[in-house]
Amino acid sequence: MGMTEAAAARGVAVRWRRPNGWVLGTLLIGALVAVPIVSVAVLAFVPEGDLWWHLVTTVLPGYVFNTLLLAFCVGMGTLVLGTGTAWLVTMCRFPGRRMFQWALLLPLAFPSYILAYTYTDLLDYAGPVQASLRALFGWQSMQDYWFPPVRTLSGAAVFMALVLYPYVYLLARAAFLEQSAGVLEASRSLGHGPWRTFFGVSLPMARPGISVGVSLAVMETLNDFGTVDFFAVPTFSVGIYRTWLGMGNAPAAAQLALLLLVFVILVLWWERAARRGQRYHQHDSPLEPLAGARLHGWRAGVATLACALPVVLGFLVPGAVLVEYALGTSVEALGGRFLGIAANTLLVAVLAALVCVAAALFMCYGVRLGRRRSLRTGARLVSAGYAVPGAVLALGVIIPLAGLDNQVDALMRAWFGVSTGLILSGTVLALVYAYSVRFLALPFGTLEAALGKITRSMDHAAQSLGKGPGETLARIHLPMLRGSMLTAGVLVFVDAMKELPMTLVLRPFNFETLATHVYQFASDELLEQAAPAAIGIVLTGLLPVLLLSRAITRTRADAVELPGGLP
Amino acid sequence: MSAPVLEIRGLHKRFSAEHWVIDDLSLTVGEGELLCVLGASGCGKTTMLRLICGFEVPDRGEIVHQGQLIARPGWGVRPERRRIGMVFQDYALFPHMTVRANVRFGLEPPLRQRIAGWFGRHAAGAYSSAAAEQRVAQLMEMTGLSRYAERYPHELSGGQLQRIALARALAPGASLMLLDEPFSNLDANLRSRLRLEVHDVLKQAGVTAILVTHDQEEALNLADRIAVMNRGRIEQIGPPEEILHQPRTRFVARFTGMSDLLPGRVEGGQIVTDMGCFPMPAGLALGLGERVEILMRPNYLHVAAEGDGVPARIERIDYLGVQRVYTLVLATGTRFRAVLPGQLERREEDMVRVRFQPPHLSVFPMEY
Repeated sequence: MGMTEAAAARGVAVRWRRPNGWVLGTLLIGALVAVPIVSVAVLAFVPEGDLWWHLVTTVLPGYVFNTLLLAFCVGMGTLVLGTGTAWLVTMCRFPGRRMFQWALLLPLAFPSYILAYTYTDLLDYAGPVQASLRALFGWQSMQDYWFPPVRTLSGAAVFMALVLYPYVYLLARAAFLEQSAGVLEASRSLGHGPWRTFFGVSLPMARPGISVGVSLAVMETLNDFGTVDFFAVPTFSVGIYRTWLGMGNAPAAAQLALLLLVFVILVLWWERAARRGQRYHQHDSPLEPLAGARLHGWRAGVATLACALPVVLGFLVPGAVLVEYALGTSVEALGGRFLGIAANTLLVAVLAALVCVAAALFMCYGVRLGRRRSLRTGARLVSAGYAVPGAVLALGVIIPLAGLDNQVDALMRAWFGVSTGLILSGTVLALVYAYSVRFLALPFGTLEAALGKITRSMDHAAQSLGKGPGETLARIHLPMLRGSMLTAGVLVFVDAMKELPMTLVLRPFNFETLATHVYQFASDELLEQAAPAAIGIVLTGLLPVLLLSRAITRTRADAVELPGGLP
Repeated sequence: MSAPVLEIRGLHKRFSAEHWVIDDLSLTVGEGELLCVLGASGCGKTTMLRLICGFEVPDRGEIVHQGQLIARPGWGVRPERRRIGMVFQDYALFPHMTVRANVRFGLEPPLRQRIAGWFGRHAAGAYSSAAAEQRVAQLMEMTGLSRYAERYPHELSGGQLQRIALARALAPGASLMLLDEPFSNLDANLRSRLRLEVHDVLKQAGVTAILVTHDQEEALNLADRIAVMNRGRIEQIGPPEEILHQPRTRFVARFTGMSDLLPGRVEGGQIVTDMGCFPMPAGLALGLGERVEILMRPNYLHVAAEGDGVPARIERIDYLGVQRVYTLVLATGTRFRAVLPGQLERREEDMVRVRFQPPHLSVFPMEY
C-alpha cells in the first residue's frame, strides 16, 4: 500500500505491537529474580556423595518434624492472638479500645530473633527473673524449683507468635470491619446469641482474611533463622546452613532447600487461594458502621487485659529491657564502630529499597503496557520471592554469582594475567541482589494496587495528547504514585535492615550490619553490648507500624490494604 | 460533502474467537461534520472509538485519516502520533495538574523533541511558549474556564470538568475529535445545557467530531448526521430527520424515539391494516398475503373527540414532562401510543377517534 510506505518513510507509522523495551525489560527482571530458585533446583541434582542418605537416615526427620511443629504452633498462636484481639477492638467497646487499635501493631517492630535474645536474657537461669525468684523463696539451685525452659521449640513458637500475630490482626480486623452490622443483627434477631453469631457468622465471613494472615505468619516462620539457631531448634533453615557451611556440602543443602520449597509452595498456594476467597467476601457498598457492644465490669477488664497482654509482652517488656541495657553501655560502645555498622546497614537497605522500587515500577508499568496475560502471571510468580526462605535464597544467590566470578576471573587471568577475585559474590552487590529478590514483592504489590487505581483513560488521554509511554509514566503516573513509592521504599528498607539469614552468609568479609552485629553479640551471650543496635532496628521497625496505624485510624476497612505480602 | 476527514472501510475486531465486536463497519466523516454514533451499550461503539484512536488494532479493514492510512490488520500508527483528540467518559483529567496545566499538556512537544532542543537541534514545529499560552487562554475563554485556571480538578463540578476535558482535547488543534459518552456522568438538567454548549464550541472551533452516545435525544439534538449502530455494524446513517422518519430497519425504528408497530397484510398492491389501507412503498419486495408492520410515531396520529377516524379506547394516560402520552386500544385489540394536545380533555376509558397520517411509510416484514 503506497500510503503506508509514505507514512513509514516519514517516521510516523510505527509497528504497534513490536516487542518493545518495556516488555523485554520486564522479562529480564523476571529472569533475574528466577535465577536463584532455578540455581537451587539445578544444584540439587548435582551428585553430592552419600551425604543425602546419611541426612535422610539421621537428621532429616527431625528437620521436617521441627519445622512443621513450629509452623503449626506459630500458626495457631497467631490465629488465636490476632483474631481474638481484632474481634475485640472491632466488635466491642471497652477502656483503651481506640489505643489498642494501633498499639496492637507495635510488636511488628521487633524481629523475632531480638525478642528471643531479650527474653532469654531475662528468663534464663542467670537472668533477673529466676534470680529474684530464688532470692525470694530461698531456692539454692535448679533442683529446687521448676521454671519453663526458654530455649526450646515451644519458646521459639511463643516468641514468634508474639511478633507475627499483627499480620493476622490486621487482616482479621479489616475482614471484621467489612462485615455489615446488618448481617450480624440479622443473626441476633434470628435467635443466635453473641457467641453463636461470632462462630457462626462473623468468623466464617472473615475466614479468608484470617487465612491470608496466618499463611504470612507461617511463611515468616519458615524463613526464620535467628531464633531457631539461637535456641538450637533444628529446623530446615538451620539444617541448610549446617549442611552447606558446616559440612561444606552445597548440593545436599540444595536438596534440603528444595524440600523446604515444597512446604513453601503449599503455604503459598493456600495463601493465594485464601486471597481469591477474600474477594467473594468483600463489599463495595458503604456499610453501616458497626456500633460495637459496650462491655461492662469484669468483661471490660478481661477485654482490656487480653489486648494489653500481647502489646506488653511483645513490645513493652522487651523494649524496656533493651533500653535498660543500652543505658548501661558505655559511650565508647556507641562510638565509631557503631556508626560504621549503622552506615553499612543504611547503605545496603537504601540500595535494596531503590533497586526494588525501581524494578517494581518498571515491571508494573511493563505489565500495564503489555497487557498480556502471560506477562502478568509471570510478574505475579516473580513477586512470590517473598515466600522463599532466606537460607534458600542465600544458597541460590551465591551459586550463580560465584560461578560467574570464577568465569570472569579465569578469563581475565587468561587474557590479561590479572586476577579479579570475587567481584560479585563477595561484595555488597550480592547482598543487594538477594534482598531485592526477596523483597521485590512488597513494592510490586503496593505499586500494582496503586497503578490499578489510575484509570486507563489517563494513559489514553496522555497518548491522545501526543505523549509516548515513557513520558506518560514520568509526567502522569510518577507524580500520582509518589506516596505509594515512598511507602514501598520504606517497607523494603525496614525489611532489608532486619534481615538476618541472608545477610549472615552473603555479607562481604568484615562487613557488619546492625542485624549481624546483634546476632554476633547475642550468640556470645553479650546482648547488653548490642542493645543500642537492637534498639536501632526496633525503632526503624516502627516506621511501617506508623504507616499502618495511620492508615488504620484514617478510615475504615478500605484503607488498610496490605500491600502484596506485607512485610 | 467535502473531502472526508475519516474513512473506515470494512472494519472488523474481535476479542474472542466466536464474537465479532466490530463486524464489517464502514463509515465516512466529512470535514467539519458532527457525527453521532447511536447504539445500545455493548454494541461496539466504544471499541470503534478505540480503534480510531489507536488503542486497538483492527483484525480486518482499514482506517484512513486525512488521506493517510492509520490502521490496517495488525498494524497501526501509534495513538500519540495520530493527532486525533479524545474526550473521555470519565474525563480522565490529570488530578495533580491545575486546569491550565491540563489544557496546556497537549501543547508541549514530546520529550524527545525537547531533549533534541537542548542539544541545539531545532526540532520541526518548534514549540513556542508564548503561542501555547495564547492558545490556552483562548480555549479557556471559549469554554468559560478562565476563572478556574489555577484550580485543581477535584475542586470543580462535573460540568466544569467536562468543559476542561473538551478544552484539553481541543488544544493541540487536532482535525478530528472523538467524544465517548461525554454527558453520561451529568445530571439531566446540566446535560441538556452542556449539550448545546459543547455543540457551539465544536462548531466554533470548526473541528470534525464523532460523538458516541446511547441517548437518542442527545443524538437527535446534536448531530449533523446520525449513525445507528447495532451488533458491531452501522444499521443506518443519515441526517436526524431521515433516521427518525425513514428508518430502514426495525432496530433503527425501535431505537430512535417512541415508536409502535402497526400490523398489516399485503393485499393487491396495498397494505391493509386496522387503521385503513396504505399504498405499498416502492422498492419493497413483498408477496401477496405477506404480513408486515408499519412504524407508528406518536406524532403521526391525529386524535379527536369526534369526526372521522377509527374509534379507540383510552387505556391509560402517562405524563411525560409537559406532554401526555395516551395508550390507545382499537376494537381489534391493536395497542399503540399517541401524544395528545393539551386541550383535549379526555379520561381513561373514554372513546376517541384516531387517524394515522405518516409523512413517510416505513414498512418492515413481520418478525415471528
